[in-house]
Amino acid sequence: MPDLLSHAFIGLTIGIVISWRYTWLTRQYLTVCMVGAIMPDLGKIRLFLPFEMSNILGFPFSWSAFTTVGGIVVLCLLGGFLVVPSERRRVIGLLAVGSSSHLFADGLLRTSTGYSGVSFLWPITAYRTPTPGLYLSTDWWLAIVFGGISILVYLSDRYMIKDHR
Amino acid sequence: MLRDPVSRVITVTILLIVLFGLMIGYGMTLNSPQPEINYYPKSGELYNDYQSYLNERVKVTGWVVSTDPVVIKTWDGQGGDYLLTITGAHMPVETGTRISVFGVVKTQDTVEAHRIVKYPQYGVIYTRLISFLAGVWVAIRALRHWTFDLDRFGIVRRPKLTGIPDHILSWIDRRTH
Repeated sequence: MPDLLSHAFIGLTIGIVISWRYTWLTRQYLTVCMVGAIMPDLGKIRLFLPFEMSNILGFPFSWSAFTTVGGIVVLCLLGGFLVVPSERRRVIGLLAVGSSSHLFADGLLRTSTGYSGVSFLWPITAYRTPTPGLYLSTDWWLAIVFGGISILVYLSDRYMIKDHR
Repeated sequence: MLRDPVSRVITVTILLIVLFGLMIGYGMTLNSPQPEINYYPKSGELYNDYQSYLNERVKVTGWVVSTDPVVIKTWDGQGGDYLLTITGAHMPVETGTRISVFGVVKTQDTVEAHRIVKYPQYGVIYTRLISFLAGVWVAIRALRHWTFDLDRFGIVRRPKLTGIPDHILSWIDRRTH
């Protein structure tokens, strides 16, 4: 889990690039892509809870399920059914793009084991994939790099690509 | 398909139940360490049954309390902490740094490190702060761009992008004059 700001920038950047192909993708839809990019970290709710859910429930429970393929599939569908039916397909698609970028970025984090700290392919497999270890979740330069890329893409979108349409 | 409010409410309810089920399912599947899928025991498991993990690979995370030898304060999984000596550290570590160690358990509360990852001291606070700001940023965008429409019973795009809502503007106005 890189910081949420980096995730939001990644979602924004991918959304802008997709908008070059799909002209219906306005700023409002970009926001959906950004929501998708940060929603797998909903499990971070646990940091604010003064208790362990599994202790209260009396059986195993893990917030990490949000950061898995199964978790994001359900979250994308939830988003799709919370919006009006005419927006459903676009919203599910954009949430899927954003949240996939989140899992992908998390899969590159440096860990001491050399493997991902979350089984993010679950429930397809619980196997933890090898990670190239490109960055730490706490690296301060991540948000600057991804923010910089977002700004470049945003500016080229605004001043070059939209002008030529 | 599933366009009317009632069937959508039912669908959302089912999806929430499935989501809850996934969290239980993940918790049950990964309830205990499984080295064959690269899920290694952590400090809590090690504390509970040290002898059975001798010469096994573990992943322990903690704060460096001394550097010669390297000793970390790690968690026992029951709200307390204990000390582990780390040998074979291939990189200099400073007292007060949080490190994650992947290594092999030896006798006398010692782990022989294979790989160490150091987390910068500013890291956790910085990450939480900008993560919070990012959450606020996306939430503001979402509230400005989308709204709940009671008639159509669902979230809709706002017909035109509002700036700051009028009632907030007038509230700021009252405060500043």
